[in-house]
Amino acid sequence: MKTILEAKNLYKTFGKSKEEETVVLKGVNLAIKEGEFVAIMGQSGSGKSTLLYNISGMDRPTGGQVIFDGEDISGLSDEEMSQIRLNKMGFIFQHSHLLKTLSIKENIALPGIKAGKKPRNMVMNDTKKLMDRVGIGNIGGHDITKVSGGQLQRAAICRALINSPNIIFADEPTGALNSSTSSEVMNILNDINQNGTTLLVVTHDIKVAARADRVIYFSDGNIEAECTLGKFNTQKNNLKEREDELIKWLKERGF
Amino acid sequence: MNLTMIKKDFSRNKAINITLLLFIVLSACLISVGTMIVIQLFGAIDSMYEIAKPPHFMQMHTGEINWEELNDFAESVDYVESWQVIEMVNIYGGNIRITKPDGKYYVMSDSLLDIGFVKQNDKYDLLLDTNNTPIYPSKGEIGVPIILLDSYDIKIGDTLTITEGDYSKDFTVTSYVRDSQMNSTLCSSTRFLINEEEHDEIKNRIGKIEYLIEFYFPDESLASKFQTTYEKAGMPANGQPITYAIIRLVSGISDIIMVLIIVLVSLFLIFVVAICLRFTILTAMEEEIKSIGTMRAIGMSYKNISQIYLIKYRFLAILGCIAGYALSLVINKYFTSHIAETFGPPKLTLAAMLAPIATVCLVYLFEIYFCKKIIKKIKRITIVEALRSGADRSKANASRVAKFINLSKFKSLPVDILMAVQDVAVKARAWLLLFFVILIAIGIMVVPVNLHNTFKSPKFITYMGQSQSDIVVSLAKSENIAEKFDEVFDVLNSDSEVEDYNVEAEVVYEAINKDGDWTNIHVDCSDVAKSELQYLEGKAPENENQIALSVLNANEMGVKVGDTLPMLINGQEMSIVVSGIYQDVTSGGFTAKMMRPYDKEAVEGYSFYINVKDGVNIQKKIDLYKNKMGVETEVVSMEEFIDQTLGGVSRQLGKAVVAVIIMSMCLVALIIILFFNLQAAKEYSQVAIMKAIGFSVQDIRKQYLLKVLMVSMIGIVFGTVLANALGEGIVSGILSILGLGISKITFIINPVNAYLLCPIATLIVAVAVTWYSSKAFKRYNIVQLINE
Repeated sequence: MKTILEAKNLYKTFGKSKEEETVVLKGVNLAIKEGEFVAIMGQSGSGKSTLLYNISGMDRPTGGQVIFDGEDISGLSDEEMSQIRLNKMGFIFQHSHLLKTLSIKENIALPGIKAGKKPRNMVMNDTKKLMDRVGIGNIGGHDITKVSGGQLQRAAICRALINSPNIIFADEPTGALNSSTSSEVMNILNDINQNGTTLLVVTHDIKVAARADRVIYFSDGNIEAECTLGKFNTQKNNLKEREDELIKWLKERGF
Repeated sequence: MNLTMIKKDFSRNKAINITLLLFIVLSACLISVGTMIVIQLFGAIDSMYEIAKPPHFMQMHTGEINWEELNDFAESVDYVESWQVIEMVNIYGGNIRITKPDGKYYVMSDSLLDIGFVKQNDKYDLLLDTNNTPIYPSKGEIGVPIILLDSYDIKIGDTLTITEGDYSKDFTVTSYVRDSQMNSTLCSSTRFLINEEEHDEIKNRIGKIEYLIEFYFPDESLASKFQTTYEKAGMPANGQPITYAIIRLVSGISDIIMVLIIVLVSLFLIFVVAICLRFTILTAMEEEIKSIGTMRAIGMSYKNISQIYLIKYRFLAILGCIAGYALSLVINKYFTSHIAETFGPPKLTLAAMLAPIATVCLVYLFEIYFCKKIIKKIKRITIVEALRSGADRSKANASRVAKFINLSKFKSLPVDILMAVQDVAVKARAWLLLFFVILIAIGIMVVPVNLHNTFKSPKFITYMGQSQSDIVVSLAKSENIAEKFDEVFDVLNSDSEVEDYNVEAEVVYEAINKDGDWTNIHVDCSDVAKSELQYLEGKAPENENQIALSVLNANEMGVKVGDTLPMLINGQEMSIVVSGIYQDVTSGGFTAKMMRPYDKEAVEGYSFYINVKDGVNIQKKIDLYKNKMGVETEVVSMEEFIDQTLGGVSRQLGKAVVAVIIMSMCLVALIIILFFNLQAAKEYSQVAIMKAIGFSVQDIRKQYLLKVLMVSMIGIVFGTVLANALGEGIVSGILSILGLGISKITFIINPVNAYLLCPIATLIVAVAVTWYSSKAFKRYNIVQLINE
């Protein structure tokens, strides 16, 4: 399978002067294949979110390269990077981060309308289909203040999907949800992945990571170890076994 | 503790606090400058008048004087304290040449003011130098009026030569003269001061003598009563009468108009400060609503909390008012330079220093009162509400707005435009601040610009007592006025380039005033149907038994349109109907118009209002007429007439207009910076989210620019409509209070300036500042938002 995203010797430092400088990413090398579901785990402050933002082009690395879909994106202009984010990438955050001035439906449709690849009524149809698929088809016209956290997160997933991206980046997508909602949201993400969309998820939740094909443990600015779990089949419902396997793997390495 | 809190708040919200402070400084400064100008203006006029002693009543007169009769009359009026007659040698401007040290010269033939040569008086009506000291020129020296320096290049050391026929005499300019009574271009004459001996020498050889008959009373308010007595006694009155009150008003008019604009602008600014305060306090309270809830929950009273808020604004207001006052002490020189030039350096008296402090204190009190009123809203928030909500309330109506404007509804509109429109609609309350400020900025710009244009426009004169025409030819009363009249008549009738002309003859009749006394009334008799004069009420006289009166005359006679006015015409008492009332600034504002045959013997002067055919060069025509009609006939273009009469006011107004435009632009720029800092800070997350989902910085900047443009344009439209609807009313109200004979002013609008240049300039400033400020969006980052 073709590599869709690759980080080569990626560095990220913060701080205005040499004395204040903190190196958060220390020469990370990582390759993600098309259709893969990769989870990044690690302790707080290990740099896993920083890796996600730098590899997704939302932040600029201090050194190294990021190759996305065969193109080095680390040196692209804001305009070029925006186009890639709009058309080829999707983002899901811990909080839904929807726009307050738009209704749920409009929030989801916005990237589709912005991209302008399809007529607006087709985008609205896609929006409706996506909303139905994740079970929020009845709240499209609502304000974002009028619905639950779980519904908002589903809306955020729909927004990430509206332009059929090659890859979805998710930073603690279930961090603000209760366990049953969390499981529903992850089922949707697994579904999406099974339909061919690559998924890179940062999480500290074993239940989330256990759904990934591959789990990367990140520590002190670099990849410490990798665990390959293979494709999770929602039909099989073997999540518990995968969780146990992952816990065992983590324990063996003292994580 | 308070100081620490203020310091913290200042460093956290630097831009917002500085902008607010700037507005307070500006408003306090302007109100202080306005007060200073008023006090210094009247102070300077009074101290100049104390030395110069202008007359309480003065009658100009050309022709013979029966000295014995005049003496008897003066002695018969018990309240006349003193009187004097000044001989003024009027010399035609064409006979006066100014030669520069390098030999270049020019003649003053284009002067509209009658130029009179006088000698210094003994005790009253003294002509002063620039230090307000009476000037006593030696032989060969001359003092030139300071008000002429605006239109003529005359320097100390230049040579002034007067010539007539074979006679010629040189003078060296040694001083500039401050003339207490002929201190404005609105007067009809101006005085040059020469040595007594030379005055006696020239008066028999050159020019024409005009007398200034001046009277002094214990109280200047007796002047109007005296005027009637004087005119009734048949004393010499072939010329303009003038009273102390008019002298004072006319002298100060251009500065008074400037004060009006400054005060108007500062009032607008205070209003801007008020809406900015409202916006910043409400924003702060909205952001800190949870802290307010916590403070109340731990037992702090409403008073304690409001004190915390108030202390900052109190500090800002005190600082701003002190800085504004200090600034006004520095910049007031710029605004009072004209006063200093015309009346002498204004003294910085205790009153001049204290009164501005008082007005600045009023500004402070108003601002604090306003803050208290807004902060009172805390009282209405319950603790639970405060702790629970804390959210931005504006988001609640997004779905309501979406019913009308949504992304899928307008299929052809770019998404950036739709999002901008939607955002403004959802957050309309926040955007109101910018809307109001733009509206005010346009208002304070357009009203003075229109007023300035009105004063400059040739049309202005048609509702200020004059007919509009290309050329005005005036004939003053003289022995050969009848011949002169025929001469002009012939020239005009034989000139094929003349389109049409209208003659007005000034005659003096009598009428009964509001006190029931017979009083003189100067009437312009003509074929008024031709005149383009604008009437305030009623219309032009249609037959010989009708009269149109100027506003001041109508007030004096106590009549309205349709009333009957008893008049004495050629010795016969008649009942004349008032057909119309118009406003007039010429001849002191006391004029009247009739359409009836007049006795040519009784005519005081003629005015011919001439329109030439299209394409005729007016200046060439004037030169030709001047040659043909001789020196006793005054020929000017209407434009020149306006420039020379209202030019001083107009130039002073122009200065104020420039200052107002600069200030409005600064106001717009500052408010946009303030608004950006307040609003964009609140929108941090929204911007970061948009960037994350694929909007570029450029897209977001475009959206923000669109929002500012949209709100600015609405503000401009409303501002222009309001300025046109209310501007005339405000200005007319102020002018009628001044009692200048103008009670209603209709703006003559230059659409290019008012509807194109002002709005475009405002938009350019708004766009430039917005574009510059929105660079900050580059720094907005979803990573930071998530890390926060």
